[in-house]
Order: sequence, then structure tokens, then C-alpha cells
Amino acid sequence: MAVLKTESLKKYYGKDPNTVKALDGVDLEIQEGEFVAVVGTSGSGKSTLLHMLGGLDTPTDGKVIVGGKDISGMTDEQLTIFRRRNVGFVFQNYNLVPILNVYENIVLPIELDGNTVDKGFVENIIETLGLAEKKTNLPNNLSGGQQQRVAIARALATKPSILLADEPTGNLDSKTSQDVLGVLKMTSTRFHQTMVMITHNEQIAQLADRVIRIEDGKIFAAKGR
Amino acid sequence: MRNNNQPIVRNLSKRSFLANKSRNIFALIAIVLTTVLITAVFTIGISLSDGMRQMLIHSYGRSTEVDFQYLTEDEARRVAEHPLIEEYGLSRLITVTAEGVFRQAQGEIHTADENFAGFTFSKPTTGRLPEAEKEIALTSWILDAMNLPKELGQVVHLDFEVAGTPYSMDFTVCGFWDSDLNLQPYGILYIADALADKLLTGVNPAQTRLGDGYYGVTKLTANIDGTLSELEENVDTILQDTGIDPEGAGVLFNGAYNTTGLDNGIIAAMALIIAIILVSGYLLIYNIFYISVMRDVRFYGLLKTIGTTQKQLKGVVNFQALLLCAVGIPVGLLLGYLLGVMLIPVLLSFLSIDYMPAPPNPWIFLLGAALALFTVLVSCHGPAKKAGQVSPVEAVRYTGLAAAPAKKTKRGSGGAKIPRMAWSNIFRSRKKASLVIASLSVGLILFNIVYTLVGSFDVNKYLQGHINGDFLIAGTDYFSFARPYTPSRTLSEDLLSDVKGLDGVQEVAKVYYANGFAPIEGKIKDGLINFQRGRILAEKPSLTEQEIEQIIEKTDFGAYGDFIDAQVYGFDSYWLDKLEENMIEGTFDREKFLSGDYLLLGFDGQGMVRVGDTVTFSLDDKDGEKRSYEIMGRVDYRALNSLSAHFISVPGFSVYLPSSGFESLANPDIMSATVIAEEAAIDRLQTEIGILLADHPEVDFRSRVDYIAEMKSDNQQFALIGFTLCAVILLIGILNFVNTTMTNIFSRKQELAMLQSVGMTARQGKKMLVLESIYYMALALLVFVTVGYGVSHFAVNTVTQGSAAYTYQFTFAPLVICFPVLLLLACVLPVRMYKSISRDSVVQRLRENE
Repeated sequence: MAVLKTESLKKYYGKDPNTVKALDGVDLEIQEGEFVAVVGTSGSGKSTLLHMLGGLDTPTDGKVIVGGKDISGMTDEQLTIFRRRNVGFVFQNYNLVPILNVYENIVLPIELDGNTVDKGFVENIIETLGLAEKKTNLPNNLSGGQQQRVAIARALATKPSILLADEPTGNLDSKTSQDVLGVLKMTSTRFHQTMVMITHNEQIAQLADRVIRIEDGKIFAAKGR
Repeated sequence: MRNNNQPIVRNLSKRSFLANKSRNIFALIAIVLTTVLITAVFTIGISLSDGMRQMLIHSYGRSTEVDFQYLTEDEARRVAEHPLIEEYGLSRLITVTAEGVFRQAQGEIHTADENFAGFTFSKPTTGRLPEAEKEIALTSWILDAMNLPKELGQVVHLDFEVAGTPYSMDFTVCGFWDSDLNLQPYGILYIADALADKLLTGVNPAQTRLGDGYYGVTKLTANIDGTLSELEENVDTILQDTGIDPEGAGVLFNGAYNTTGLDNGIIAAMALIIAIILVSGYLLIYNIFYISVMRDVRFYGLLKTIGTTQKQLKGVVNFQALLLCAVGIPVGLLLGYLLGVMLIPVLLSFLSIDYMPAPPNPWIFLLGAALALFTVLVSCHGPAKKAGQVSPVEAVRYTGLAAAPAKKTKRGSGGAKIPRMAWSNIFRSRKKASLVIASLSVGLILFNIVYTLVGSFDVNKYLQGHINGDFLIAGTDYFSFARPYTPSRTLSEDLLSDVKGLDGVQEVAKVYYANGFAPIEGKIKDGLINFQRGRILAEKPSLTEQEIEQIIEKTDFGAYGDFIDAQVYGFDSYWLDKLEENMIEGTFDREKFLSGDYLLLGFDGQGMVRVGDTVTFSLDDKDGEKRSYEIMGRVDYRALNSLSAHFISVPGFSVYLPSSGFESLANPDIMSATVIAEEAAIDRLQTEIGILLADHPEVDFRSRVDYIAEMKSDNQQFALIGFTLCAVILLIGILNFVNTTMTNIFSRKQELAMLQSVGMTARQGKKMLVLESIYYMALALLVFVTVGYGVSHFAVNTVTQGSAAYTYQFTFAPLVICFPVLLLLACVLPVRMYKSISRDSVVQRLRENE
């Protein structure tokens, strides 16, 4: 069953005659548990696609259907709540909250939702990501790889069905990149999550079940493995 | 090596300046407000001190720097011709009289030239100085006291003696002027030289000035060349050159010039207020520039990367500040001056200063501008340095959001809850937080001080100083304060019994008054000698004990007329409780007091009489029957002001007798009668008493309501000034808060977007920001409640010290007034800001800095 689906998805920025067609009619289906890599040159629209899938941005035209629900018509408030319950984001620049320590950063989305933290689960993630020693550290005292792991842990903490990663290894050296990717792949398998990852590194893309190539806002070719 | 880089620094500054619109607006407002406050305080302070100096000069009775009091005519001529004398006036003292209307305030008969009259504020405002033998010019209150209309041509009869020869003469009034009896407690009368020559025939001033009446001595009052600091030296030179004996000449420097002109109290108050203004201005301007530099840190880092020096970067910041000053300071000066000018009349009337101060001089503007500029430059120093020290590498990564750098870990796990996050956010930049909190608290504390001061005004205490019942009935003189009260016998028993007969009147309580004559003998003589010693010491502190004794030995106490004044009050039994309440020495025994052999002491003549002494005096008449009383105790006469004649006689003392002691007199004087009425009848009685007194134009009355109204207007004037000043300071605090909050939220645009991306809803985001603001306010309030109340208590007590009408009153009102306003601001502002940054989509905001 397709957990993520777009129908002639369009996102235009700016006004005529300077319209930028970031996405220009994208039809896409991603199955539950699938690991998809999105590749493309910069400005090709891959980040826009990811933002659309996660409900961070609203489409100009077309539909985004997540778990059978059309999210393109939701209000900002509804989208935010939808996001924190169903989608985990991992960004290139980690985006940790500087005033919160590692543990607090990880449980932030749960707390925001007003839920009690499933401590066993969170501890499990922390353990899995090798952050047990750093729980009380503030982000500015962590290395880039460690910060990205915290971001991954945060994305996983709410047990989202979908994990969206925007160049998660873009700021990391190759050794750490391997590390982080390994962790991502392991957790997504372990927690049975669908993962969409943006990268421009073909090598990394090879790890995915499927690679989608985007150019000029359109899916150029999709190849399975 | 010098190079010409000024233009490029200036150009960069201008560009940076134009790019910081909202910062500029805030900084400009801050500079204007600070300058306004400084200028207003200077304008007010300097005008006030000028008004006070003028009042002081008037109270010293002359505007000239020095008097040579006891010269012979020949000596006076020599002094007048001395080159160091800039300008002078001459007067001859003929005699002094204490007869008739001059009983309470002696009359001094002089001749005077135009200059002298001018220098001593005694130039006739109506008419002119005397020329013919029978002409006289005098202070206008003498005419009032003699029950003569204030008109030229009136005939004035005077009894006086010159060197032992008594005279009784009629004069025609040729001129008069008004003088404030409170400042000049004597009457001046000017006669023509022609008559003076006749009266002084055979009198040798060189003789009389040795302490024998001073008949015919010439007084020369003069301004001396040179500065005030050289004054004493110059006068010594004059005396040496003219060969005049300094002791005999009676050189008297004008005390009004002794002080620097500014009252110490005013200097202290002004310094304190200016300090508070400077601090709050500094807090605001510093914070504005600090935040602005932090925001532009990448810009400065970039400039440094491409080769801008530290000095040039400092220049960029300072130049922008100066640019703002160029606009802000002139505007501030103008507005501050206008504000000051608007408040001065209010303040003057509040302090009962009648003299309109000279127009403020340019110093105010120079000083105000200098201080404002100084504040701005000091405020910018830190931020400018910061801009110069920016590390180009770090600047690129800097987001203005770093957590406290020293902290590496944070305990606990509950911090992801919104209130906890908000709390942590406040302390991300402790500096910013403390500045805002300090700035807000200063405003609040000041507001509290003024409010407490106004609130501590004790209506009852104030009223007790004026009225002790519902209505006060007395002769019109009694209310006028134009001159010391003298028994006028205008209030009759008949009239009072009519008042008592009015429906609703519960009590008519009388106070009798008489001038008592206490012979100078025994303890009173000792007291008088002590008094004299004190006076000499005050005038010439350099004298030794022995020299003073010599002078006292020479003193003829006959000048006081063998008697000193005893002010005798007779209190109706209604007032006995009041006397008992205000006892400060001895015990009050009602029965003994009513027996008539005892009395209570009020003013003790500066130690002249004491509790336990027996005093003897006659009432109303020097030669009347004398009675002796034992002094049973002493009461605080100040507390009984509303029942007194409103003055004390020096040398002299005042005592309280039961009214029975007066009722036996042939024609006792009822000075005042206080009506105590039923609450419900007061409005009606106001009219009825008015009607009853309509037939008695010489009698007047005041009601409690009148005094309350008067008090309210006084208090309102004070409140107006106080609240104007602290409103501006509070505004500075609020501005600081607004600026910090706005820039803070703006610089966290990306972080907020990130929070939103991981699931913080707009509602939660707003909640967090509002909570942050509320915590700021709460902290400011905490400082206010802990430090502020202490400071207020201290300040209010210091200010009201010695003023009978104040009782410190703790009040929550400023809190209650300010809190909702601050809370509203704390709620509205972040929500507004959040909305304004939310106009861009989450994605756009996330990408902004990438």
C-alpha cells in the first residue's frame, strides 16, 4: 500500500513572468517501509518535494496524500500537529534547540504534543544511537555527527511512520556520514519506517531501495534496484 | 602610515545606518527621551535655584554684596569714593521704634537715596521717596496695621525718640511699597534728609555706634568690583585704604551670596534624578546598539575578513550613533526645555516661591547636550568595541542565539515543556536580560517613589496644621498672614453665641490670645544672655569666648524695653485633650491646670524657660497686674499651629493657659473660634455662618472643605511634575523591553521555524514567547518588590523628613496600576511579532540563513 502519494503536484514561486516552477506536476507513490533516495542537481526541486511530503509547505496545485489522508487542504495548525505525529524530519544543519540538552531535544516533539514520554522507547533510541553518555549535554558541546544523531533520535522519538531526511550527511565527513547512514538505515528497518532521503551523493543513493531523480521540477527517471 | 580611509568608513556607516531602520527609530527615541529628561531637569533645577536665590536675596533684604552698617557721614564718603566700589546706596538710620503697630515687628526710620531704596527692594511702587520735611514713604503693611487705606496723602502719626529726645509727629504718605513680612519682619519708613538733619542735631554717630542706639549712623550698601571669591579681600582693602575700624564699621556680607546659590538639597535631588535618567538612558541606548551590533555581526565579520580594521569598525558604530545624536539631541533639548518651562510655574507655586526666575541661560542647553552626548558615547563604547573585536570566522557561524557559553551541560529532563523552554530562553543572553530588567525596574521604582510620596500625604496631619474642627472663625487679619497677629478684638462673645445657637453646631471652642510682658530678670535674663551669645556667634564665628563676653557686657538689654514677649494663649476646655496629646515634657494634670496657677510651655525661647520654672508676666499691658505661674510641662507648639497666632516671637516664649485666665480680663481678645458641627449639618452651616458673618466684614471663616481643596491642588501639582518625569523614565524602560523583545524574536526567526518544523504549533510558539515576556516582567517586578520597596521607603522618608504633613504609607497601587499595562504589553507584543515573522512560510524561514 502506498503510504505516500502525490498527484500532479505543483509548486510555483514568484509571479509571472518570473515564475519559478520548483515542482511542475509530480506523480509519485512510495510504499510502506520503502527507503527512497531523491537525487538531483541543486535547484532541481528535490527539497521542495520533501517539504511538500512532510507538510512543511503547501502546494500550488495537486495533492499530497499521506496514509490515505489528503494533507494539501490542511491549515497551518493542522499541518503542524500532523507533522509531529506522523513525520520525522532530519535536516542537513541538525536544527537542534540550543537551550535544551540532548534528552530534552529528543523528547521535544512528544512534549509539544502533550503526551507522556515512552521512556523505554526513547532510552532504546538513545542507546541505539550511542548517545547514552551525552544525555545532559547541550548541543553546542557536541560534534557534528553527534548533533545529527540527536536530530535523528528526535525524528524517531514520536514513532513516526515516515522519516524525511534532507541531506542528513551534507555537513559531515565521509566516515561520520557512513556512520549516520548506517544508523538511519538500521533504525528505519528496526522501527519499520518509510524513509525518504535527499542527497546529491550518488554513492549514498545506492543504499536506497529506489532512487528518484528530479530535474527542473519533474521526475526524470525512477529506477528500482 | 596615514591613509585616507575616512570616506569609505563614512560610506559604510551610512549604508549600515540606512539598513537599520527600526534600530534607528528606537535609538532616536531613546536619545530624544534621555535628552528631554536631562534638559527638563536642568531647566527646572536651575530656574528653581534662581527663584530660591531671589527669594533668599529678598529675605536678606538687599541685592548688594556688602553693607557697611555703622559709618559716619565722612567715612561713608571716603568709602563711596574708593575705586573698588562698583555701585553704592546710602541711608541714615534715625531711630527704631517698637511703639504702637510696631509692637511685633519694629519700625525703622531711615533716610535713603534712590540707589539704596532700589538695592533693598524698598523703592516706592506707588508715589516716590520723601523730599519735603513732613513727607514719609513706608512699607504698605504699616498702613494696613494702622487701619489706613493704601493711598497717597494719608496722614500717619508716629511716636519715637532720637537719642533720648521723644518726638510725636504727623507725616503725609508720599510713597509706599509692598514687602513680604515673612521675609522682612520689620517695617521700613523713609523720611526726608531735611527732617533727618534736624532730628540728628547734636547727635554724634561716632558715639552712638558704640552700642548706644546707633542714631544717625550711615549705612552704605555696595557692590564691589571683582568676583565674589575676592569679596572679603577687597572689602579689607577698602577698610585699610580708608582707615576705617572694621569692628566699628559693622561690615556685613550678604548671606545670599555666601551659598553658591544652589541649595544643597536641590543639588542632591537634581544629581540623583540626573543619575537615574543617565542610567536608564544608558541601559536603553546600550541595549539598542548592543543588539544591533549582534544582529549585524556577520556584516562586521565580513568587513573584517576583507580588511577593515578594528578601529574602523568602531568608527562605523560610533558614526551611526553620532548621526542619531545630531538629530535626537536638538529635538530633545527643545522638547525638554518646553517641558521644563511648562512645569516651572507649577513647581514654583507648589513651593510658594513668588519670584519668577530669570529666563534659563544657554548653559542648560550646553550642559544638557554634553550630558546626552556623553551618555550616548558611553553607551556605544561597549557595542563598538564588540563590533571591532568580531572574529571573522566565528561571525559567519554566529546566529546571535548561542546559549550561555560557559555552560556545557544542563541537568534535568523536563526542559522541553513550553514554560521551561521560555524560562531558559530568557537567560540565553544574561546581559540583555539584566539590562531590560534593570531598565524596567528603575522606572517602576521611581514611579513607586513618586506615588508613595503623593500617597503618603496625610490629610489629617495636614488639616491639623490648619483647622481642628469643621469651621474656623477669626478676624480677617488672622487669615491674611500679612503681618503678625495682634489682638484685634474683632471676634465678640455675642457673635459666637449666635453661631453656637445655629442648628447642628455641637461646640464652639475658643482660643484667647494676649501679648504678655515678662520682665527681664532672673532666669529670663540668663536666657536672654544665652540667646544673645548665640546670635553673636552666628554672626561672627571667629570671636573668642572672651570677646563675646565683652560684647554682652556692653549690651544694653534696655533695647528690648525691659520686657520680652510672652505669647499667651487661653484654651477652652474643649482643647485640653489636644494639649495632653501633644505633651513632650512633664505630665499633664487637668485639675492643676484648670486651677489657674499652672501653665504649659509651647515655644521655650530656645531654652530661655524650662519646665518647672516659675514665669511672671502681665497681659496686654506693660504696667498691668503681673501674675506668676509654674510651668507644668511642655507641649509641641508646632502641632498646635492651627490654634496659634502663626508666628513665634524671638526673643520670647509662648505659653498656654486655660481660658478662665482670660475671662477675668476686662476685654480679652478671642483670636479664633473653631466650630465643631454635626456631619449632616455642615453644608447648611456653611451658608448659615456666611450669612451670620455678612454683617461683620472684619470677621471671616474657613471650612475644613476649603483646606482640603487647597491641599488637593498642592498635591496635584506635585503629582503632575513627579508623574511626568517618571512616565518618561517608565517609557524608557518599556521601550527597552519592546526593543529587546522585537529584535529577539526577529533574530530567532529561523529557530522558531525549526521548532515549527518539528511540531511546535503557532499557538505553542506564541505561548512560549508570551511566557518569556511575562517572565521578564515578573523578574522586573521581583526586583521592584524586593529592592524597590526598600529604596522607596528610604527615599520617601528622606524627602518628607521634617514635613509634618507626611506619613509613610506602604502602597500596592503602583503595582496594581503598572502590572496590567505591562502584562498587556507582554501578551500583545510577542503575538504581534510572531504573526509578522510568520508571514513567510516555514521552509522560507528555515532556508533564510543557509
